[in-house]
Amino acid sequence: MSGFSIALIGFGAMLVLIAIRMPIALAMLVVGSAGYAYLNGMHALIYYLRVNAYSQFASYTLSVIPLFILMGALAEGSGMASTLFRAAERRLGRVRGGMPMAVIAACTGFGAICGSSVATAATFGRAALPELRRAKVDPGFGTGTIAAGGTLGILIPPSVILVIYAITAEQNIAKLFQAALIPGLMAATFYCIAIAIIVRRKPELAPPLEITPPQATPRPVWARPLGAIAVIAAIGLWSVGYANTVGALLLGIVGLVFLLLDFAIIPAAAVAIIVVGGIYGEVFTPTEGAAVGAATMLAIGVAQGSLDWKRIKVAFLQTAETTGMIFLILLGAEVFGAFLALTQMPMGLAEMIGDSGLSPYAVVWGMLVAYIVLGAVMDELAMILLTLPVFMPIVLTLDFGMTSEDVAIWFGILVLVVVAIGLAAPPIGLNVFVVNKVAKDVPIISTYKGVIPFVLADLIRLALLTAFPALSLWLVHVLN
Amino acid sequence: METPAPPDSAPDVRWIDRLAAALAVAGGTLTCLAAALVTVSVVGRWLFNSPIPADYEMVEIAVGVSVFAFLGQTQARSGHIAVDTFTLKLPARVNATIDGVWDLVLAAFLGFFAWGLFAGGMDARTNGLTLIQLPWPVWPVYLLCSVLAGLACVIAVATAILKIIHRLPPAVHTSSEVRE
Amino acid sequence: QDTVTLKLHHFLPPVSNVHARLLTPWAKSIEDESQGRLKVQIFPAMQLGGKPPQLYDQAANGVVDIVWTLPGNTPGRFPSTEVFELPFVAAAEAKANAPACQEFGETHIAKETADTKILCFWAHDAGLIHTNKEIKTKEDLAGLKLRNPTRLAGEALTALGATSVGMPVPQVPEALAQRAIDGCVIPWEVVPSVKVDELTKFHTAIPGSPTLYTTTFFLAMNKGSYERLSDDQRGVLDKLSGMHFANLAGEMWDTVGKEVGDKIKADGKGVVSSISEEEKARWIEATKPVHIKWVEDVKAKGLDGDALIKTAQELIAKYGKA
Ligand code: NA
Ligand code: NA
Repeated sequence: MSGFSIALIGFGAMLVLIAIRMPIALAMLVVGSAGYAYLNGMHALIYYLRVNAYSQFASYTLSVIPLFILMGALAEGSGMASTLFRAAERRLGRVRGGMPMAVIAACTGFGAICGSSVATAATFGRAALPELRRAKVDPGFGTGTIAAGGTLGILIPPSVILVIYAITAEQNIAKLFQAALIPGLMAATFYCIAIAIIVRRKPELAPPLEITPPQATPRPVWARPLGAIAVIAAIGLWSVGYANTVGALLLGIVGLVFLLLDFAIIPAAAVAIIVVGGIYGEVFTPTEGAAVGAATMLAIGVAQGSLDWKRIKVAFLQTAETTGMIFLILLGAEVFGAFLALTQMPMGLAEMIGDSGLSPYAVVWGMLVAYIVLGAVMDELAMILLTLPVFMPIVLTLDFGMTSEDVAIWFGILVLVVVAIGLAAPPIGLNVFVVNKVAKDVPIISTYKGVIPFVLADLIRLALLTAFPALSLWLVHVLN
Repeated sequence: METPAPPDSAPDVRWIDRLAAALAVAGGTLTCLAAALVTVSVVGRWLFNSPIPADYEMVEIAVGVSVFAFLGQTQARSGHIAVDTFTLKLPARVNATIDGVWDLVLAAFLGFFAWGLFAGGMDARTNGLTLIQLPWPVWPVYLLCSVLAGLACVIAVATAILKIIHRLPPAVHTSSEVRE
Repeated sequence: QDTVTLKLHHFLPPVSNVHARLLTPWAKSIEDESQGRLKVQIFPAMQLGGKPPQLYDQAANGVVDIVWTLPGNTPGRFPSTEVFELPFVAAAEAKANAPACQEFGETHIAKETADTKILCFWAHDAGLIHTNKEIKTKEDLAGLKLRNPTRLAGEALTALGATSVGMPVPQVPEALAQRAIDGCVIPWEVVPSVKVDELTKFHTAIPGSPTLYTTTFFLAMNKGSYERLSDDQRGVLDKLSGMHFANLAGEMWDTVGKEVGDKIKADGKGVVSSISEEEKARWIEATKPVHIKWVEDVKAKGLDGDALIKTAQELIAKYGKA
């Protein structure tokens, strides 16, 4: 039997097991193990798996995942997440489609400190869902919005997927984060446009808020002038050549908070300033930022009095449940990936694309389509780890009229968009599952229906980002 | 004083929840310690040029151990992601039995990991294996994870049996009634 | 008779020099020499699963047939190999280090590596200190946060007054870009793959031999896989492993090292310099305690550290002259 057909049988078996209620992680583990044993022997399987679970769990790169999840759980426990959502709700609540847009806005803000898509989806699944219900937003549309909004956790830097891409493709993480900023904000904008279009056609999906949104904490009189001065100073610093300094950036953020937003979100903004400032101010690495963020969140919550031991314990229980779920999937994906490597299928697929003699852009599109197909049936992280070592050298030999570093950064952003699509799209969209765990009364089919407009928005964005590399590269060039 | 539980309803499985929760809280505390360690190390490096040596490795170990501690909670809360769209029409008892069987399969893997980590830990002890940056032996970490994997296995076996004898309902991943 | 395909597993990406310029040509030469009866299929980037520290056991337990790995990935397990990683023992050229290790390995590491068939044991060339600050004297190292390549090199850096930071190689570019570390200590060959040429400006060498440090490597094979080969297949493998492979490896590191170093000099982006001979003497003096501590540590494992150091130095001198 050829490796290709063995791989296909493996995929088929996995889908059948998943259809009969086997947890996805377990299905990958079972099929991966069986395939590994079939191709390499039972003895090899036993010794490969013996301590492998520990080796996979004890990974520095992946340590950011539980830290981001903990950060999300603490943000929810301390009320910070719902404060963020309420702040957005106060500005947008009366607009048509304002409630779902507030979810997107809150996810964007949270995405600036949290680098995990699943953690963001889980956090706002718990923090925003009750409010969406109160506002009588269609259940499937609401869960779909949260599942899509969750992807902003990785689309807005910091981002676990970009860290893993950077390490696998040997690229500079800081530059990738810079490159992701404009596409990330584009994502948030496109999601809001998608909501606006949907609500215009079907107003009953998200009726405007009838009840008065909760009042903001009153701001002292000096807040606005001070904010205005800070923003002007930041622009001034930027224009005289301090574009690269943290000072300008931070001053700008602080100024905007004082000028535009509620004082209620100051604790959340403080965490953001410490994490973003620390990363861009070269105090710590983006990977370390996850730990600093979680620790800061805990410290601020405790200092504020919004986190007591009881709430911390609840946060621990939520962190445990989600982390255990994700790491078992990662382990299953690793074993399934090792099985696929033995069949040589992913490498064969990548070579086929590389040898196809197509134009550079067609090759990139071919790869992105392959990713969307693979992403439908397997874990996105495993997909990247398996295919990048083959795709990367091919991409770097293509001539786009850019330096190889630019190509690598641009391709990384495209991969990121594809991953976000895979996280939200059927049949296996991790974010949809996570939101559905919180909203058990909403049929999963409804969530998938709710997610469709956002996936379409992502596809349009993907086309734009592919056609115009400058959208990703411009900021990198300006800042370096 | 004691209200007799109605037949076939929620049995007393609080020990499972308590064990899983205790492990989760321990793991969560360890994760917080890792976060604090990195923060202290980063601040030390920034202000005093003295990071905590081998902080990377300690974070790896803390997270590795925590994840093993977390597995029981995911199991106890039916937190693993599964698709129940195609089996919604089946009676709850059938679904519970199916879930119980899969719990047993997972328990088998967890039991295997517990054994593997124990055996691997003993080998590491014989070979004198240490951490990368610190000359500390690595086998106690393996042993601890072996125990935690064993406890997760116990929890999975317990939920499996309870589901198979219909003392626990099947996991609910999505709605059993479609609204439209 | 049957064609045998051996699976070779390693952790570097397929674009790495070790994969593209050492292992791939070597696999090809085995296939050619055996007229296609023995093949080596290479799986880079841990594609067959596991993490780098598990590689050696994967060979020992027959998960794969051959692995390329570092003894330093499983510290404490191969104490004798550490002798070459001590400060100021190795030569500046891999041409000398690689065969010296191989000869040393044939007689001195058999007991520690009894669970595999070691096809080759070798070491790379001199490592350089890559920083954003010029280094002329020991005092310039004071307080610099340098990523160490091995635990022993870390002890040497500490002895020289630097702050030694341990972190996985993939984290290095991120940490350098964020100034979480001030520099790192690696040979030229690794420089492009971790972008150290873009992230640091000064590349400081230590003149001549002995040099500051080196890292050792294994090409280890499963014993059963080795014994299952037919006589002529094993003959081909034996011929192309051992000293033959050590020389190939030595040449690869020296050639690639020179290419990278020359390119950086030609580009003019980085400053390549050496510390003076007098300064080097001070560094050797300052790192003496690392030797003393190591000799004490391995005594507990029943090894005569002083004798091992002497043997290693003699072998390096022998191949250094050739
Ligand atoms: Na983010
Ligand atoms: Na997917």
